[in-house]
Amino acid sequence: MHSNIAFSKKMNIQTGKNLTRIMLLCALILTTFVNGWAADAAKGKDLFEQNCTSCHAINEKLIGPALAGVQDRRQEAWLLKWVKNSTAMIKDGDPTAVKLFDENNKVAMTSFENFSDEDVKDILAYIATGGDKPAAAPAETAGGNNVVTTGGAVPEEGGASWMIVVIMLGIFILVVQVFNILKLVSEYTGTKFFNPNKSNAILMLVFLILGMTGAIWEFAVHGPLTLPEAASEHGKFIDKMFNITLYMTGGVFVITQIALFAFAYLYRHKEGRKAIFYAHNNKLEVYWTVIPAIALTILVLNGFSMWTKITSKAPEDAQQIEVFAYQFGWKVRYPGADNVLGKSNFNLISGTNNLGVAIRSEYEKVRAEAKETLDELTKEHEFLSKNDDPTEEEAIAIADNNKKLDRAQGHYSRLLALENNERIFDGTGDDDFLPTEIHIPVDEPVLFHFRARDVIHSAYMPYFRVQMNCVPGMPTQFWFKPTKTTAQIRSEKNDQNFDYYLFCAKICGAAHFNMKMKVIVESKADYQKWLRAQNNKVANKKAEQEVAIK
Amino acid sequence: MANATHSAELHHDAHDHHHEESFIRKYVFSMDHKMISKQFLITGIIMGVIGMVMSLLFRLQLAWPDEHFGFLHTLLGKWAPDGKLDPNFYLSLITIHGTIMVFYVLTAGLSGTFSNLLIPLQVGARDMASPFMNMLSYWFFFCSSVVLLASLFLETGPASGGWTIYPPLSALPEAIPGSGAGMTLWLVAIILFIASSLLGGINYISTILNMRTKGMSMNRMPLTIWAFFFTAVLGLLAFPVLLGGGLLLIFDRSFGTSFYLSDIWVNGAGALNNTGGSPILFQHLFWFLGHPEVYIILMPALGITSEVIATNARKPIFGYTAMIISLLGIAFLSFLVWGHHMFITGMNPFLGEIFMVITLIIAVPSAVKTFNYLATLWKGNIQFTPGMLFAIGLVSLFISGGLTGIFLGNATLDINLHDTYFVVAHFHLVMGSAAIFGMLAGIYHWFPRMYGRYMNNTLGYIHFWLTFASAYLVFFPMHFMGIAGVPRRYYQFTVLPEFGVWMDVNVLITIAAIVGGLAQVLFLWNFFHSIFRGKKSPQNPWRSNTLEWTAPVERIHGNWPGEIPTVYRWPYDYSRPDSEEDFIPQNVPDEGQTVEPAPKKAPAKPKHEEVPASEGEDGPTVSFAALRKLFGFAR
Repeated sequence: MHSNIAFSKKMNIQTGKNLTRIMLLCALILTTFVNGWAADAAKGKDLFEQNCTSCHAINEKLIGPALAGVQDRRQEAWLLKWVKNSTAMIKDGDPTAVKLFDENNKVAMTSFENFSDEDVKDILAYIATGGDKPAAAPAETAGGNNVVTTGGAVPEEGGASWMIVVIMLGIFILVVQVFNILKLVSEYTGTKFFNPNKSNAILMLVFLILGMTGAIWEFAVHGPLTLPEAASEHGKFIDKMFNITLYMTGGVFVITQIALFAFAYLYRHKEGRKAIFYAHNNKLEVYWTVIPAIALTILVLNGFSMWTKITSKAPEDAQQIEVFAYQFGWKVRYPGADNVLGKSNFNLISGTNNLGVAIRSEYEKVRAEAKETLDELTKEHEFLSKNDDPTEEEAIAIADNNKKLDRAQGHYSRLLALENNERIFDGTGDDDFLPTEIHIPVDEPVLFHFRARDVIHSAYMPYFRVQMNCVPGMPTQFWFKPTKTTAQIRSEKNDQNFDYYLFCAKICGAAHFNMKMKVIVESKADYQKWLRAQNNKVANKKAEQEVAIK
Repeated sequence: MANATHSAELHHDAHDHHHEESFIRKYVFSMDHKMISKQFLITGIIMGVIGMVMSLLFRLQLAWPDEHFGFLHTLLGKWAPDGKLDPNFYLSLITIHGTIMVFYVLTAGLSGTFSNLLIPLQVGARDMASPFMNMLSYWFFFCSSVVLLASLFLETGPASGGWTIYPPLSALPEAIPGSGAGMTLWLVAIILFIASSLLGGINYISTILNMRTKGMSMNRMPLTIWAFFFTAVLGLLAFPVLLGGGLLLIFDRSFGTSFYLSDIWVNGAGALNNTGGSPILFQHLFWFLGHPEVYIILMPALGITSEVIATNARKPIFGYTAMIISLLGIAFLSFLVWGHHMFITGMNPFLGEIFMVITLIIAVPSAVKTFNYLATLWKGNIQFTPGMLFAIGLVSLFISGGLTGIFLGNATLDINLHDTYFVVAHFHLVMGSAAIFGMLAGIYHWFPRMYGRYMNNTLGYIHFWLTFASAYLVFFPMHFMGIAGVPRRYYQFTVLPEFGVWMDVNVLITIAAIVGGLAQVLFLWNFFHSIFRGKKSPQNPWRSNTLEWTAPVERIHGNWPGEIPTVYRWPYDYSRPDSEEDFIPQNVPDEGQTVEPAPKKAPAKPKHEEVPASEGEDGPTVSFAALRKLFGFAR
């Protein structure tokens, strides 16, 4: 009997394997077909870079697995479903989905409900091309560990790195041995070969000279690698103040370090030397209290006035832009034709309304979804509560359900409370648009409003000397005037591929290092042109929708 | 006076009967301050090694982001699939590295070791005010370490939101796996740690105020004691605030409150019910501890340095009073500057202005200290012991790291430097390396006092020069990365092509860090080997003035076999022109002086007669007398 079951199980697995193989073959044929015919890898590339790169690379595991060969591993239908709503698949207990979830530290993939099937196929087509690194996508091995080095890291280089470590280790042992030999020799010959006071004093001097040389070398070699002159109005003042502070502290640094090491060398112990008894000098104390105090007062006053200017109220005519941070990426919102950013509320966030903008049609949708979730959970709750004597596993399920139900109830009731809130549904959000890059005009004031969805992020644009935290539940802002267009900085840096970027500076989770968005500074004319085009797009889309409704 | 003699004799007698202490009493649940200080030191060293190895692991990732190290997989299992660190575990490593170094090594390891060792010995007391509380302090610390290390073995990994554990990241397991059970254990560990720190601090303060020997007025205390005193006061005032902040975080995490959480939609859970809280509130509470914490770490190191430099330069410390006033100034101001960690959180800009002004004022007492160290070396007669080398190293690192604080304390400059490698460079030099150097100076200097043996000097020299060079090689180049806008806590620098130019620098830093790590192996060998095999040292090997060197090397519960020495002078009578020897210990009366000298201020009443330091007759007794006296003092 038992063996029978075992046997039939084995059979099932066998057929299952065969089935998978056949499916795989079909998928392969399908993808080649699709690749050749319908899907657009170029479009996929854009989509991939905007939506996927914060967690995925093609040939390397980042937060999520490497995607090379994903079409060979999974069926397309499965992939479509997964990309659009992975959370639901895990909840429904799809075995592959659950396995993936477990393998990736139980972090669910962001759901992209607003992707069309074509969008996902485009992305898959792009992945199939192997990305920018041609022919670097081998089929996955059975173990699932496809180890592919990316970029410039060829194994030889890795070997070189290890060679350096070995050499350093060698030097280290050498130093130790030389010391030991010196000591042995001095013991053997009975001469004072190694005088610790003299040797260390000389080493102090050597260290001072090497250290100062090193510092100068650093300024000469790494100094030029730092940021160029600020590309914003207030940034130029920050740079100036940085330089003043650098000269002041640099002077103190050189003088005090030289004094320290020189004293150590000069006043080393010698036979017959006696230190002078000199315990205090109030005049000196006053000098070196008052002089730093004056220097710091200058810095404080400078910093004070600058800080007041930077944090002052933005000019009325500043371009309003909202930057929204989430795990792990940025969204940007422009106010549209009416030049007023629509209100938002975190309860309204959904797959099609990532920023929770108060738009009536979106509200209806998200409320319906919330109701559906609530009903499902309530049903599940009723079923689970019938169980009087739950096992450990069931108890976990009950607790989980309670927590989710609690959240769903809260969400739904808050949504209901929003229904008649005309203050937020004032229609100003209807014409807002969300481009995939930030465009700002040169020499015009720009006011950034920052919001965060989940945890604290920090919007950092070092070329403009701009940084401000994005705090959930507490909107922040920063205004400034950019002074160099992207074209200008490109010619200045002599790098036609250079772009300004916005990235995250506050630890926010696994892909913290990978949150970026391109910032394009344009001439006023170009900016207006771009703005008009975007507004037209919004208007056209609206008109289309109205036609469709009719 | 007669009373004092009597009590001392009685005490000594009591001890003669107590030599056959059991192993557990003597080495495990010891109430002797010298043994407790060794326990703190060795636990601190072990934690330090763990923290250092962690830093090397993530340095490997930063230098060779594309490399796969097989041994990492062997060591870390699923946290390094294919031999490359998992991004979540990378964040865990930096979090636990920071936590261990800040709290476990540089707070407990440094302050716990040397406050315990030196306070009773240098003020002339038989033990701490409450030896029992002192023992509890260590065991709370030990449990705290165990809990923190246990979190490394959790399936979801240890805490990973950075050592500053800002919510909401630290409150939401959906946002990062480390904020699940790992964060819970982190919070439990820190609460135990705070208990330990408070028990210790109360003890240090009451011992210093109440149990100084005859003639040891406050203005004759060594600078080490002054530093430990201010440190303990800071800890006592600041740590409870962190406890409060941590408890509120526990409520938010486990009981559904909303102190720090509001308007959150998190992937995997959707919209949360929390409304009305403020994540910034946590930062205020955290940094109210966090900033004084920097000085809790640094001040003992500065105290140790003052003592070591004066002894080995054979010169009185320059500006004794100025040194105390500057310590006091730093301690006081450190409570008013926490906001400089929060310039760009979006808090009211006016607050930023106030915090900027006070922050820059703190540079003045720091400058005074530096100049006084330089003046102490001037025309000295410097003995380069390993302890002295580390003390000089501290001054150098303190200058380098302190000066960059002037950049960061300026709100305007902080906009572009905040959360970049510039910050990493700054605090690793000024409080990380400098405080570690202070700790190492202390270990080399007081090793003979602890174990009656010397550490090997030659190994000490090599250790110093390698560590010193590697500290600068690791942290100096980071300033430039920071000025270039490279953010900290990045798993790899692939996000922007322009970060690529720093790859070489990252490799250099990692190699320097590995060399620095290897140098610590020398130290470890030297330390543990010398405990058993080191050259025997005389009672006062550095020919120092302070009282701890008047006590015999043998471990005696009660420190001095007879009466506690009386103090006649300040601790810095080195190279007095009217004396043959170049040092005059504190217990030596002035020439022809038979009665107690009259210092400018009336000396504090000698207190030790009234408080029997530790009654060993019936095992542990909490010294309520000392506590009473403490409160009496406060009144």
